[in-house]
Amino acid sequence: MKGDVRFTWFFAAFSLFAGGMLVLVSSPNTIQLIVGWELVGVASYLLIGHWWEDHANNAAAIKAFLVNKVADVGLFIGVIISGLVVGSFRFTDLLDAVEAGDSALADVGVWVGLALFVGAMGKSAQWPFHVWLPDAMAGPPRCRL
Amino acid sequence: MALYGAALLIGNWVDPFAFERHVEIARIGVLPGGHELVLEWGWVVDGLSTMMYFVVGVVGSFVFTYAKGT
Repeated sequence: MKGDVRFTWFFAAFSLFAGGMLVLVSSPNTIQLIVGWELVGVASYLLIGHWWEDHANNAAAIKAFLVNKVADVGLFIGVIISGLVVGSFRFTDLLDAVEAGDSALADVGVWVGLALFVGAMGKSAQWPFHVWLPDAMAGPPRCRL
Repeated sequence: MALYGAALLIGNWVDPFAFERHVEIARIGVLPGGHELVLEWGWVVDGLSTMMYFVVGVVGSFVFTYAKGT
């Protein structure tokens, strides 16, 4: 990146990416997980479109952002349903409800799991949300986190 | 961050520990069942999260170094 037109901007976006990852991995509840998840998504958009003068990079950034947002709907649905059913967004409370055999959670457990899985599929570029990843390589040497 | 993650990871490896802290930000509302939904901010330090601190810190520092160049 030495000599790049937006050298400082790259590291600002990269720091946002790493910070978002840390928020994500340190979250004790699903709401904070979404905050970290979205920070990573926004930072990815900024990094993929770093050289936005090139239309291909710009299009790749928008494509990655939109595909991730579609998949994030699944994450939101899973978090909202599990939070409303269990009455808490904490992971510990969710695990306690699972271990206790909460009947209300058991009724929707499969759908919650599938919805959360759709969110993970988008971020990890699994089929059918894989289309954003090849184009994203157009960006600068960003992390493979 | 990489060093902090490494220290936590080694510490957790030698003597496993786990704790979490929560700070209440807002009360969202009460569900029909009587549960009160609370918006919280917090952090977890356990085996999995310390490993992730380490991975994010180390890979982040590698990318930072590689991208900065000479």
